[in-house]
Amino acid sequence: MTANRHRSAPLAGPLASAAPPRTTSRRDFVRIATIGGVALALPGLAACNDAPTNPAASATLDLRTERGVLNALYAMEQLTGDFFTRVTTFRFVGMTGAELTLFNDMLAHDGAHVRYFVDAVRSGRVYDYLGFDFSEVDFTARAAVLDVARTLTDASAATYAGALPRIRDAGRLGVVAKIASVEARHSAAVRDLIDAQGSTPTGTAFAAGEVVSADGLGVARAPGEVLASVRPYFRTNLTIQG
Amino acid sequence: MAATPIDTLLQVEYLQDELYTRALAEPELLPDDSPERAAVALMQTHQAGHIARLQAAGGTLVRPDAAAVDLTGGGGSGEGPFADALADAAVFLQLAQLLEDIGVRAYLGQIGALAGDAGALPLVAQLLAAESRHAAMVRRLRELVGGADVKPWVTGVYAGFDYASEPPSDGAESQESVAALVYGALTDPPGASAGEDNYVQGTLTLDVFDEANTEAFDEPMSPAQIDAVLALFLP
Repeated sequence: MTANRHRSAPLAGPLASAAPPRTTSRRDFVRIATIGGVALALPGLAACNDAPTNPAASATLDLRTERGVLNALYAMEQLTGDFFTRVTTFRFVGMTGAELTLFNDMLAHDGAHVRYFVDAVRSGRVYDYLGFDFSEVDFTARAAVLDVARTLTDASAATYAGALPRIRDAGRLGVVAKIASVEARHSAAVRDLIDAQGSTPTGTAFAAGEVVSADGLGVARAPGEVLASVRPYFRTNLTIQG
Repeated sequence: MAATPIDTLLQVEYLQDELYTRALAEPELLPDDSPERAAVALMQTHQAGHIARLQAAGGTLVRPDAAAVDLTGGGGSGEGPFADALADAAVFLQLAQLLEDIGVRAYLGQIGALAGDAGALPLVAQLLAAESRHAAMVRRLRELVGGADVKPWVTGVYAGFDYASEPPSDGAESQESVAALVYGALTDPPGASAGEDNYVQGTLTLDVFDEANTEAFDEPMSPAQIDAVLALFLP
């Protein structure tokens, strides 16, 4: 498939063994074709043997509607899923088993979240194969990878907190809130992971001022604002309305 | 017990705050200048903020006297399964984990009813986000400081406790039985108790045998279920 080389896949550094994540799982949703490039199937779309290698060139999200908000969250899940697929595939130098487990877990969670959105948004769902660009990230470098992990998990937590009030269907709100909770756990875990390996761990990074206010309110950001902030990681040209 | 949903949330927050306040006051429990002490101090700061916000949002439940709180989980006997919570950091963190995870479940239990509530829902969404971070961090502390086999997220109904303590006698609660109240009872097949091992999300049925699917979603808890746990500490 050399004609569809995925340009955002960095080829620097050794490609770690392509063992599927969570070998105790029955799922194997990462398929890696290594002829002339790396094509990454998205997490959560089980039994997807024919993932297209041409991600959407553009996509429109209308955040004035509840469906648009759900699509925005779905786009974020695709983004973090793509990122953690790369993290667990390329595995920065010195990655420990505990860290790999953490990243595999978060990837698996994103996969389940993706499956929820695919099930919940039956019509008018944003394209299932958005394109991402992590070409600026050196996936062999621990500090670089963790920095992006923090940026993306912080963004996810904030956008879910900001999105919940925009979901009017009680059933959907209930499930999306469950996801929101886990995304906040992800952000806390990544932040503490970074903090714990520093020279002087503070113990407070998990809920520091930039993600939780002094009186205990998690930061909530509008989905449109968050998507704009992570736009550099989208290869797909996003048009955000509302 | 709490009369309104906001008072249920307030009651959980009071209990968490009581635990952290007393833990920080213990000279030997959390070492000075340690990350774990700083983490608990930060969470306690947040609890104070949560309490103020919930009171401002209409919570009327008065904070119970410290003497009325049984941190051992003994329903007032002072001899419950967490009797060492202020003496043994491992037990303290176990209790903190239960209280934070139940806090998450309490907030999730309220959110569905707040659909369209432009006043309360944004606040509860933000309180939930903080609570979830606390819950993840307590689990991180248990794992990194205490060597417990537990993740930042909830795996099925597994609490990650070492159940070396004696089984309950004459109907008394054990650490394990309290954990089962918080996370749900272990069932075969999994998921039958509608606890944290739930694998049905909306109209989507996920693979029940993949624990990641239970981790990926925290689960709500009803006020009645929460009251059953709180009664052990706030009789």
